[in-house]
This record gives sequence, C-alpha cells and structure tokens, in this order.
Amino acid sequence: MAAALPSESERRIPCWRCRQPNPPAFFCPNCEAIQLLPSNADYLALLGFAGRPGIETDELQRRYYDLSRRLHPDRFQTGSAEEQRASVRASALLNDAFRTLKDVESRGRWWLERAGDSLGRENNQVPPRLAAEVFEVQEKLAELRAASGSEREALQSETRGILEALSSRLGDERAAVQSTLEEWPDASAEEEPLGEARSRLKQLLSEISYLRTLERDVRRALEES
Amino acid sequence: MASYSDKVIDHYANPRNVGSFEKGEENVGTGIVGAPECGDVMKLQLKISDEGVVQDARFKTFGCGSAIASSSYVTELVKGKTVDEVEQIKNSIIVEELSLPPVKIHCSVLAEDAIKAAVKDWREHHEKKKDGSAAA
Repeated sequence: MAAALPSESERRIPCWRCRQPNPPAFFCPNCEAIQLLPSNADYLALLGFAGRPGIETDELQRRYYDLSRRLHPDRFQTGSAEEQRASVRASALLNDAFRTLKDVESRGRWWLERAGDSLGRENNQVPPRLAAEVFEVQEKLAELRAASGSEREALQSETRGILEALSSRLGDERAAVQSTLEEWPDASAEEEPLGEARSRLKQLLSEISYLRTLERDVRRALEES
Repeated sequence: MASYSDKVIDHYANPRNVGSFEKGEENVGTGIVGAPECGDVMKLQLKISDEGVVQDARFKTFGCGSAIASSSYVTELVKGKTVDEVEQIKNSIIVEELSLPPVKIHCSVLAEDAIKAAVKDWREHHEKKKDGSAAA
C-alpha cells in the first residue's frame, strides 16, 4: 500500500504542447505551458512539497498566492482554448489543494488516504480511557441541563473548565499530528516505520475527532444552560 | 442536510432504553464502539440470561440523530433473541427499518459493531463465570 506513494508522485504526464513527460506540476518545466492536470493530481507535488507532508503553512500560503496569480483565468483570456481550459481546471485544483493542506487535520486525513488507508477502516475501537472520559463529561452535561439556581452556576463554571481543558488538549493533539507529519519516514523507508507512522497518525486523528464531537456538545450545553 | 425518515425522528425524539445498567450487575455485556470519521461514540449493554437469551438492553449514544435512532432501534430488536441470533443481525436491517440515507449507513454499521462488541464482552465474562463455578 505504501509502495503506491512514490510511483504515484513519480507518474509522468506528457505536456500537451511540447510532449515532454513531466511529474505533476502546474507549468511545464520545459516549455512553461500551463498544464492540463488530472483532478487526482498529488496536492503536495503540485505545490512543490512532494512527499513532505510536514509543510509549514506560511510557506504553503506564499506558494498558493503566487500560483493563484499565475494560474488565474484572466491571464489566459487571449490564450488558446487548451490554455483557457487548463487555467480554469488548475485554479480549481489549486484551491482544493490549499483548502486540504492548510489545516493540519485535513492534511493528515488526506495523507492517510494517499498512504492507502482511511480513518474509518478497521477502526471502531474507542481508546478505553477516552471513552470513559466521553461518558463522564456527557454525564456532567446531563447534570448541567437538569440543574437550576446556584447548582447550575457551579456546574456552569465546572463545565467551562472542562471546555478549556478540551480546547487545550485539541491544540496539543494537532501539534502532535504536525510533528508526526514532519517526521514522516522517507518514501524509500522500510514498511515498518511507515506502518508505525500511519497507525500513529490514524490514532491521533481519531482521538481528535472524538474530542471535537465532545467539545461541540460541551459548547452547546453551555450555550443552552 | 440529510432528510430523516419518520422512524428516525421518532427514535431520536423518544429514544427507547436509554441509560446504563447498574455497575457490577451480572450477566451484562457492554460494547463501546466509535466512528472516527464523525466522532460518534456508542455504548450498548445487553443483559443476557445464562441460557443465552437477551432479556434487556440499554444504550447511550453521543452523535447524530441517525446514530441515536440506530442504537435505540437495536435495543428493541435484540430483546428476546438468543445471542447467536443477535450476532447474526446485519446493519442492512437497520438501514431498511429506519430508511437511512447512504451518508448515514455508517451509523447502522456502528450499531451492528456495538452488538457484536457487547456479545463478545458477555461471552468473556460468561466463560470466566463458568470456569469459576467449575473450579469451585
């Protein structure tokens, strides 16, 4: 499964104008023509980060703005039909790529899928400690919904504390996803470190997902109380 | 937004058998499963007689309406069935009964997984109990 990665990003597409086979890129490195790319082109490769999921969002943003200008359909108004078609498609693709990559969670999910896995696959076990926490917090929310007067005030402040703790944990978990992606083993690495990185990423993203749902419910309960 | 069927809305608005059995209660199997794509968590408990018949069920589900409805429906479905019958329950019957739209099919899968996890948990305790009484 992991072997699909290098071959995928190394797959070459011939330039429509000069016929040179190129790895996925918005512009042909040989004749500089804008390229007609398939919609499943590798987002990281397109933005010049091939195989490096631990990108910095500042750098991503810079490349995105630069490419947005260069790919904009207005620039190809007097161009050929191929160029006009390519610029519309490339601009849409660039936007999809940026939206997916800028957030570390969606980047992580996308990367997991590129590695031939997905968050939901054979993954219905909630870590027991996390499950216990979910039930405990939800119990508290039920108490809060039923409470009144000074009891409610006490529960509200306790719940606000829970919310704060949840938000800070989500921040930590997101940072852990980023470092997992930064330390991602080379595509040429053995199966074992790749498998370990995949399962760590999957575990972190799953925990984030459960914590997010919990955070949403806590917020809602506080608003309604 | 997915449009919910009347049965989903009914189970969501009036969920059956919500809650937990007393801690330490015997003959109870507990299954806790989750759907990491959407963050739903489901707990299903089955009270099963020594003969292996489901006598009662409780659930607690934190998630979308379809996940709550699926687990509520399942608590009614399993009562009176043997563990072997219960293990044969497929998510498709939940999808059919509640007319779940394709995007909510994973909620029914979650409910099926919860049943299997609860039965597995009961079997483990039951085996231990049998071993214990055989040794005594």
